Amino acid sequence: MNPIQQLQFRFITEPDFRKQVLDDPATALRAVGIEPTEDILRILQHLKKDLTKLAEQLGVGIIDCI
Amino acid sequence: MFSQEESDGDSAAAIAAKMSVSRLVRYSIDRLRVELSTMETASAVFWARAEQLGQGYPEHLFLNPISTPVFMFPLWVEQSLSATQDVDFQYELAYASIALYFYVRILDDAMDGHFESGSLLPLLTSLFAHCTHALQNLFPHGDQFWAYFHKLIDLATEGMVVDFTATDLGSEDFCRLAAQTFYCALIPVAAVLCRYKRCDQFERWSELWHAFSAWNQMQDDIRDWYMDQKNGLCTYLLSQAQRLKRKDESVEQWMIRDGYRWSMGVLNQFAKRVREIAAELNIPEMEKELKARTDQGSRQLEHLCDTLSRIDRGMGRVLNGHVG
Repeated sequence: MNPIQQLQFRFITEPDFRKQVLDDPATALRAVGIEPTEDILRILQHLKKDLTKLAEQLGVGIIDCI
Repeated sequence: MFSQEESDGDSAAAIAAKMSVSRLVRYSIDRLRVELSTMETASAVFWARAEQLGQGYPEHLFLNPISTPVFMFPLWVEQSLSATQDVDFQYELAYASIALYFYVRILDDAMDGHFESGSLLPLLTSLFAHCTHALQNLFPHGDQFWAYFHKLIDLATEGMVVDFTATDLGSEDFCRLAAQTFYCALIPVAAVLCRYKRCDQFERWSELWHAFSAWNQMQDDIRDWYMDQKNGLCTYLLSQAQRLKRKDESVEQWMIRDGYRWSMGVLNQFAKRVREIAAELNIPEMEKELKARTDQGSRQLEHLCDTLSRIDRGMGRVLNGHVG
């Protein structure tokens, strides 16, 4: 996986990573091999509203019903 | 994956139906508590699991806005056949349905290895007995209902075993098994039709159940794909991933690159079918409820796909030369 795919994949599958992307994006980016330049951080900042909403959707504990 | 947003703008009839379902569920849970209480330890083990499943409240398993509307189907069927509700009948049927639901749930969990199920397995006998006893209060020996009951139980059993042993699922098998595995949910539907002597309608309702189950199961498979893969489970989505991914690509990479978008297309097709059949059955309240559920599922998946695309587009552009 390339770094962007890793970021997307871990955001979807790892609740702790999701939190880190929102709270400490620089560390989260470094964890997937992306240098957190100002440009990259600005993009995440632009996406923050959407990412927050998505994190909420992904994080909701769903009861597995028939 | 999906949130539990309540749908806005419920009509008075829809609110009344939900209150009616709520009363049926609470009555059934309370009655099951009383009827199982003669077994002290078994009952305690059972309710501990039921509370765990319902995050503290067993009734949440059924009243959660995203749970399968198993209690609404019999009410919708009755609405299609009669201007009035046979309240006593619906209460007894709801109790039978609750017992049957837990029966299927314990079985399903044990088959999936979701929990240490050994101590719960003996409950299966009791729950099935409570279900059939309640149904015997509604239908005498020899009633046509029992033919449906036996056929649906046998088909569900067959479906569960086929599903459990499957190693690759195509679209047709998936649609059949998604419905057949939970044919027990059609027992209350058949009960209402038999009560009103309208078994000629069974195929139409069965068709709706097939469409709804495919949509419901697909949604579940999308939400759980990663855990399913880790647990080595066979699903339609994971089977398709194996078929559609590039040779040098992992299932994870395919899901990120195309899998969610592909899944959204399939889910929308299933949702369209649900809405078409619901419209044919012409029960506005049911149509609205099913539309709200399918729309919400599509919206959330669309949001996920769009966000993934925006990450790709935005970061991909900037990352040229910036990758560490």
